Amino acid sequence: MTVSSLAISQTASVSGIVKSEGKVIEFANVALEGTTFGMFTNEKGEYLFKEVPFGNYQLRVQIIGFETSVTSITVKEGGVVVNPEIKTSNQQIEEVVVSGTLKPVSKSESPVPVEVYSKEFFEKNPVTSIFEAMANVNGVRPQLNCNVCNTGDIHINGLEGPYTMILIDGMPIVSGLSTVYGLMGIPQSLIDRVEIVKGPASTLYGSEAVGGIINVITKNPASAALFSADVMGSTWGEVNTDLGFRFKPTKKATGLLGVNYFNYENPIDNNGDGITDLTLQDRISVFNKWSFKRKNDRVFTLAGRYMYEDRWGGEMNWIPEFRGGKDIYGESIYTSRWEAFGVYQLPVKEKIDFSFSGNGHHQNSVYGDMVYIGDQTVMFGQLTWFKKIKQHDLTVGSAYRYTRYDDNTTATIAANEMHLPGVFIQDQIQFNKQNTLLLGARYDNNTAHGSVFSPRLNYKWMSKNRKNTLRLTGGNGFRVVNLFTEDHAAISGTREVIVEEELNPETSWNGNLNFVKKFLFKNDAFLSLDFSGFYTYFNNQILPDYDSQDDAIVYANLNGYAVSQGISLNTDLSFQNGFNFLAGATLMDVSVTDDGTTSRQELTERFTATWGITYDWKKKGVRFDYTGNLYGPMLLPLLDENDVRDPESPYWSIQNIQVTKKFKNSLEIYAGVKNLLNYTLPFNAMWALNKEDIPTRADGSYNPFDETNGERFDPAYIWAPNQGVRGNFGVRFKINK
Amino acid sequence: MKKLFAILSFLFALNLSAQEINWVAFEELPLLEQKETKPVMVFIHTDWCKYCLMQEQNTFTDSLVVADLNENYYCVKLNAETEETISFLNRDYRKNGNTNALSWVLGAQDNQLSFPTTVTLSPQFQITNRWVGYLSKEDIL
Repeated sequence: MTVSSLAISQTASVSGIVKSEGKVIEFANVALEGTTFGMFTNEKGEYLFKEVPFGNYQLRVQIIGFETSVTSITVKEGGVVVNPEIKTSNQQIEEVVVSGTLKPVSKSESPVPVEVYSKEFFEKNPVTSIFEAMANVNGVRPQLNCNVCNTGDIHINGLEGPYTMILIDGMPIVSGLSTVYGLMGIPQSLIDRVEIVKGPASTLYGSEAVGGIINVITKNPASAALFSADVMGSTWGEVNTDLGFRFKPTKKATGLLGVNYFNYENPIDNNGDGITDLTLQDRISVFNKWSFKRKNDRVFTLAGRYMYEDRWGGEMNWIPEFRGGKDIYGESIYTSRWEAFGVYQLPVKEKIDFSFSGNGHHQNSVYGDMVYIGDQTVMFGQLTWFKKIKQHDLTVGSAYRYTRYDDNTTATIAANEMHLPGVFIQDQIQFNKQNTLLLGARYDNNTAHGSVFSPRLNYKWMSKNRKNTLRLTGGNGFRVVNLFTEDHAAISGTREVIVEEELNPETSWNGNLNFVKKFLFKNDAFLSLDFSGFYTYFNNQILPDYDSQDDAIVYANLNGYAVSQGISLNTDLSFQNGFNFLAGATLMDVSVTDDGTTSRQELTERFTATWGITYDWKKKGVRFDYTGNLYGPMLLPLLDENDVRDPESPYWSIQNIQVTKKFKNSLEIYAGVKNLLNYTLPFNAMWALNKEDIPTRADGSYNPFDETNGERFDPAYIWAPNQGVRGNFGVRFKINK
Repeated sequence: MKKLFAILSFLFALNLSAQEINWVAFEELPLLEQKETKPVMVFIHTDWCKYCLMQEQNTFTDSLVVADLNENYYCVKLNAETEETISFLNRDYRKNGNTNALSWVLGAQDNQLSFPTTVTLSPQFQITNRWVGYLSKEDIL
């Protein structure tokens, strides 16, 4: 009796506020070790234990993400106030990496069929730019348009480059002029992942999203490595260096600096046509991205990039002194470009993002003695409001795009300015776990063409076990034509550009069916079959006509229509033992109907396949990759009936192997052979003449300027890269902490 | 009587094997811990990740795994790409970029978040283990 009454009288309270770096911490677990006293702090960080018997205790504070703090206290008359300070956790926990994971190829579960490719996917066959990397994706083909300067565009399902919209972080940064030489300048190291939508997506993205979009998502500074390096070289003498640094100058800002330098200075002419096989390049790209921490996890990122490139191709003995002259043929292009872009989430309760971008592109090119100087500025701003109301997921936005373009040709005597304001709305309705419907509409008003309306409809059904997904898509795309910036052949100078009439915007209507079936096997194997059927109808496709006049490219509104239709299948077979098999094939037909006559589109294959076979030998830290692609015949542009060259390309294939060895300290060494089959263009890819007729100079070299037999030098006859078999090796290293 | 008991327990076992993992929400955890103290297992996944689907449909449907996890853990499924705000320990975790902030706090290893990632927490919500990648039933049992 005495003891207990003594105990009752000898108690006091323990209270206080838990803080970290001056901020109160809610719901921290506070306890007196070895007792039943324990509670969570309230929203003011406060805790309170009443009637704690006098004595010595250990006050323990635990909360996720913080180090556990233990304070020795003595409870005596009058109570104790303890305000524990806790530190952000850096604790080592037991971490286990088990086999089979990461993000090889994935598809988001949106009603829009989006294919997502991670940087790991592209590491199977590492290349230097986003342009070349696209060769690994089924249905997407980087097409080189010029044998000498190696410019190119990216075809999606047979549709030409201008119909493919290339976005960086969702913004139209690569368009118009920059699609000609800008694509090569986007280093692969920038990529966190690439999202591809095949089929029009103008409702969200506006002009140019006619054939599909390629959205390059850049790395998030917060999740980038502290330091990373990737240096790759080839037996041709190409050297690519990527360096990445993460820094955190203040508590709120994280920055990422990425430097890419590519150099190729070793003229090679293996096919003996007198012209460099691969364009010589010297290129630097500096990328800087910042992410800022804000209240309530609001988004604020800022990024900037500068790129400079000096490239040339031509006769083997060309040197910069011959630039623009007639003595030795050479194409020399200087490109300098800046980009700035970011996203700022408005400090309001609703989620409203303001995304903005600007870029300037300056190009100074000479093709033989033809000079082309182009300047382009693109500004873009978009407000997007995201709102969820019950099963409706609304996206409402307004966008403004301004393009200024000027060049030294007669086509633009004054600078061409274009304003493109637009508004859009999209509603994703989730009826239940299985059924989702997406409705969207957009209205744009273009300086040249007036009003443009683009609706879309997507429907997704997913089975309960999530192994079957069906998507139906209908929608349209439009593009405001800007001839002089999109077609290298048009500006390459060997042909003249003729515009026969005022051009209308191009519009396309597309229907797409996509079915994905996933199989899970008892032995932990996984198989996914992803089937698509597509049909796109252009009611005003403006195609460059190379054939009616062999010294010109003629543009006119199409008096008819064009159709791109086909089917594709992607398979993904993975085993837990590290074996992964990815393969895709596309069968398609792209035709143009003009005045009742239907013909196949040039430079468009009817069959393509890509594959990547990987064996990841985890125990040894060794990975084997075998990648490749196969293309069916394409119709090729001939100059006239006297052109001796083949009107159709053969079946051709590029295949590569690579071995990667991973070491414990995040060091990776890789080596491989590219273009194993040594497939290259034939000698006559450059000359529309028999070998014996090719004009030569006194020293026996070919003379592209000699026009005695008509102008028969034609670098636009190209369907494959010129680079034969070569070795490839590189080192990757990173420090994560 | 013994026979009946055997049949009953067999039926009971059958019934158990047909059961699914009893997924709970983060919001419920503090209250549950006050009722009965158990460690927590968090399965961080995305909709598109094939190994996540494999772990869900091959591993988390195995009767032994289900029994073990339901018995010994509070199990939470965290879709890293969820648009919803998750309230856990009186904090709001929102989508930050592509992923929910909580999936980073729990799942990121060497500043990288991969899928699936399975994390166990102590009843005081301290991270005790993290497995990056697919877990088969053998890995769990």
